[in-house]
Amino acid sequence: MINIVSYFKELVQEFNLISIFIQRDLKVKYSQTLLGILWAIIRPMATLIIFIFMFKKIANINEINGVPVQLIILSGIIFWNYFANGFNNVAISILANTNLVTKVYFPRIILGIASLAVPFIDFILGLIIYIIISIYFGFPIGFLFLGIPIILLFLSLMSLGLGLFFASNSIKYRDLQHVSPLIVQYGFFLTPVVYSIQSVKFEDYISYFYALNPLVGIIELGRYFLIPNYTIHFNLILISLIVTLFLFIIGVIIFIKKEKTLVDHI
Amino acid sequence: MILQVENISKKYLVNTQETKSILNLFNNSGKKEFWALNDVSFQINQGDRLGVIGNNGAGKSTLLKILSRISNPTSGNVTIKGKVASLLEVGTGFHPELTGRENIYLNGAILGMKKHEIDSNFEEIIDFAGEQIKNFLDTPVKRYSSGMYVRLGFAIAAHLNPDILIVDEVLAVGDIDFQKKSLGKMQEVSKKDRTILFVSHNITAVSNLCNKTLYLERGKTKAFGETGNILNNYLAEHQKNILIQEYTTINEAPGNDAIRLKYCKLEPKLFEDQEFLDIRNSFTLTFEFWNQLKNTTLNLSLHLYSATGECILNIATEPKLMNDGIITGNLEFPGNYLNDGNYMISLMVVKDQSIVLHNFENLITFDIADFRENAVWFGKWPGYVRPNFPFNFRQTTNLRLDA
Repeated sequence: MINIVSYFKELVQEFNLISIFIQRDLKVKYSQTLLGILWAIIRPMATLIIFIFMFKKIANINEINGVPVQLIILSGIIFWNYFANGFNNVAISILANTNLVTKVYFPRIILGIASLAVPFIDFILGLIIYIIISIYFGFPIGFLFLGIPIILLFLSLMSLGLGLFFASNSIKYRDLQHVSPLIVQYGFFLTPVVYSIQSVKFEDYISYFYALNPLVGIIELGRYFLIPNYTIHFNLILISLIVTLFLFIIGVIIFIKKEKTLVDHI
Repeated sequence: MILQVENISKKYLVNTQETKSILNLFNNSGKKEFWALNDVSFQINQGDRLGVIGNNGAGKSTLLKILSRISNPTSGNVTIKGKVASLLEVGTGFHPELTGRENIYLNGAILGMKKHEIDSNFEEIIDFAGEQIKNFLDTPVKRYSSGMYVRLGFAIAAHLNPDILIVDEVLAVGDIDFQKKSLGKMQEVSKKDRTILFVSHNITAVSNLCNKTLYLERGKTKAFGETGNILNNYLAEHQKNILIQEYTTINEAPGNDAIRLKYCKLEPKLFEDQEFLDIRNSFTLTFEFWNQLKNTTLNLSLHLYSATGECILNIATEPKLMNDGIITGNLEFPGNYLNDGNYMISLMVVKDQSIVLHNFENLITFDIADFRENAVWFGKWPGYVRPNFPFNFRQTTNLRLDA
């Protein structure tokens, strides 16, 4: 326990390094491509258009409980993308920086934390697009919008917890590198990203199990903050948030334990 | 005492496969234990300059990784008082897409410098790196030549200000200019009462830079103490040289029915207090053969090879008419002639100047140690020969601006 306290003290001292890595990632990410930062907008918009086509033209669904599907889908996508890209980046953060971790010491968790920066910027841009579209559809954001940082926090904890678990284990057990893309791929459909939990017909007790997937509660709470009069089931949210904290703590503890000999397996 | 290492060991599990499949997640079968370090202890004080020497696989790099906290020991303790900076390569973490300026901040931060430290040293760093880099400071480093890349990396490293500096010998590679600059900088640093840990194969550099030496062999401490004593030890161990071959009976002697080796010896003319042959010494090869041919014209041809197998020279005797019995001879090599390195001598016995009777390969294997006085540069002296021909220059006129 004392170890963990001194570990986080060290982490605070390394704030300079975290910000340097963030600057590096942002500069490299947005300066290398022609369209640069525009990609952060193009990608979620493309996903949105595809799902709108599927829902409206194929399934003939235009709204869910009075909310236009566009808003359900877009809000889901920006939250999901932050988690998925963040998780993915954290999971590969050690392997992508082997040249560094084999040559110099610093708390390795820094690489994971810093790798959330690019998804974060994408998220902010996505949010701006959402706000514009929500005004167009007549569902402008209200004061509950102030709760969005809570969503960001929990999505970050989730990305870090799960990502650090994969980062620390996928070096020794390379098979795990094939598992993390599956989580993102199937998780997208198992989580109410392009639908709302209200459109899932569950018995109550089953939906509690459903909420064990932390993204279920986090994304639904996120919609509650974004969409006026969006109804949620607070018990489900609570389950999801508790599971998130639990996964985060487990992920970090495993990572801290493994990080000291991580290099031996590279 | 600034650094104390107590009984550290490091175990690796060596697998036939590099990484495990998820199927044997829970068992460790089919793996061999390998102790890269085994119960190593030593301590150094403020201002000590410790050289770490040993063969490949002796555990030098493992020790380096543990001391710089890159990896943890399997058992044992390391106590370090103060800030450590480890230079295992130059330009660690340079990103090719970022500019020279951005990489100075990135690399500096990675090596443990705070932003204000980099800010206040920025001008000095680019001055040290040179004019060329100053002109390309805002160009991505992927456009730099490898020389520029290394110069910028070293310039940043040279401005680190740690209590203990851990340096790998890889820093001493690169062009001669760079070697001079980096080793010169280390000497400068060592004069400032800074503690340095220097891992190297280069005995000359260690003997000139370090006051203490740790000699590792297969993961264990072979010797630790004052550099002079340890290096003598190390050189004695390492001269796996054949300086003498002697055979008492003709049957066990190498050769063939015509000619067999009886005796050969390489004898250096050492100065007083000198234990090993170095570049200054002359040395003599003496040899004896059993000759079983009657009335044959023989001549000898000697080849000198470098350790890498290149023939450096070939020298032959006059042909002479010989009878059966014992043939003796010698050859004297002058001092200040061969460069430092490992050499092999082979001797060929030729009949009628055309038929090779026998080639005695690797007759003698010997080392010539380096020797430099008042040196500032300790990189490997290039070339196979190292003569001291008279090489002069002088001032002939004075250019006076006021004249």
